[in-house]
Amino acid sequence: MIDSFTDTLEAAQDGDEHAIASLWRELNPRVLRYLRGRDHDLADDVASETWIAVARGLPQFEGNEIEFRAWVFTIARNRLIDAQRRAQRLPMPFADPATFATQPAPDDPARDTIDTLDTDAALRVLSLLVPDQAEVLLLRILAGLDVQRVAEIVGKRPGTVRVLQHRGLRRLAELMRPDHADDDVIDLRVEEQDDERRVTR
Amino acid sequence: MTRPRLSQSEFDKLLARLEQLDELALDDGTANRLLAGHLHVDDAPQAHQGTALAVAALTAPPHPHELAAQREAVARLAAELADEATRRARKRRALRKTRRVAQLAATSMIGGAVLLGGLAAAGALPVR
Repeated sequence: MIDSFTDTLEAAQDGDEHAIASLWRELNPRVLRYLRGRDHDLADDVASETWIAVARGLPQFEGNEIEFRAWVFTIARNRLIDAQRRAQRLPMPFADPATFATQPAPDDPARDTIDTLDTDAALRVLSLLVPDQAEVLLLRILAGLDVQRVAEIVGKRPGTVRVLQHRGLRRLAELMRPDHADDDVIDLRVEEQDDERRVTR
Repeated sequence: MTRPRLSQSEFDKLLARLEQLDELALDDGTANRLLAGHLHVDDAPQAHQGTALAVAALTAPPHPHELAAQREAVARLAAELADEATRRARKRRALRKTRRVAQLAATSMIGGAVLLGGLAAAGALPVR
């Protein structure tokens, strides 16, 4: 959390470099992770574009810390869509199912020492979800936003976001099982994508 | 119509799958706490402990490479903010100038109309 957000924001709006650095340090890692989870190749460039747009809009911004986060992530999302359109391609998350099985079994003695999963590995697992599910989970986790705000950002109804969230969590739980490789991941993804089209329609 | 017969192993697999589906069920409150990172791995429902790990990994403190560009980024942002302030000041000046010109034009028109009206009332306008 940013200490006395309003003061920091006002100072940043006046061009104070310490305040700008504070906002950047607080949000850039999360924005970067969100973008890498959505499109690994474009993430760095889009993050830079996002911050330039934030700087241009900052003098007019009014709101609290949550609204600021929602605003920054909305810009990041829109910039990513623009960048993907410019590149004329579909999202290219880094999905390599063979590399993410780092979850120890519940009774694994190594579990105590491996109490964290590598951030990249977590992003790889999320990239295996249907894109809409991954986006909802990334925004909820990284932007720390509630269902209502995520719904506003992605332009869907809160009920739809809730469904995407639950399906995403179920799928994530399946993928994080140590024996997930026994499942036919591809088939499940196709089934879920069909379901998703029905939900989002 | 005949029902397809399942072998014991297929039946067991189906049953295991159904049981697993129940294990994956998550109420809204638990889902919210899980996504907010408020559920420690050991407190999360067993089927979702991996997800709790993933959430912890995603919200972990920044890695050095994620902050490596801070100096350049902040300098760029400060410059952009300064440019934006200059642009806004220029825009404000231009707006003020336009407003002044409009006021001057309006005053001139009203003044002209009053003058003409006065001259007409005094019969000082040339009559054809």
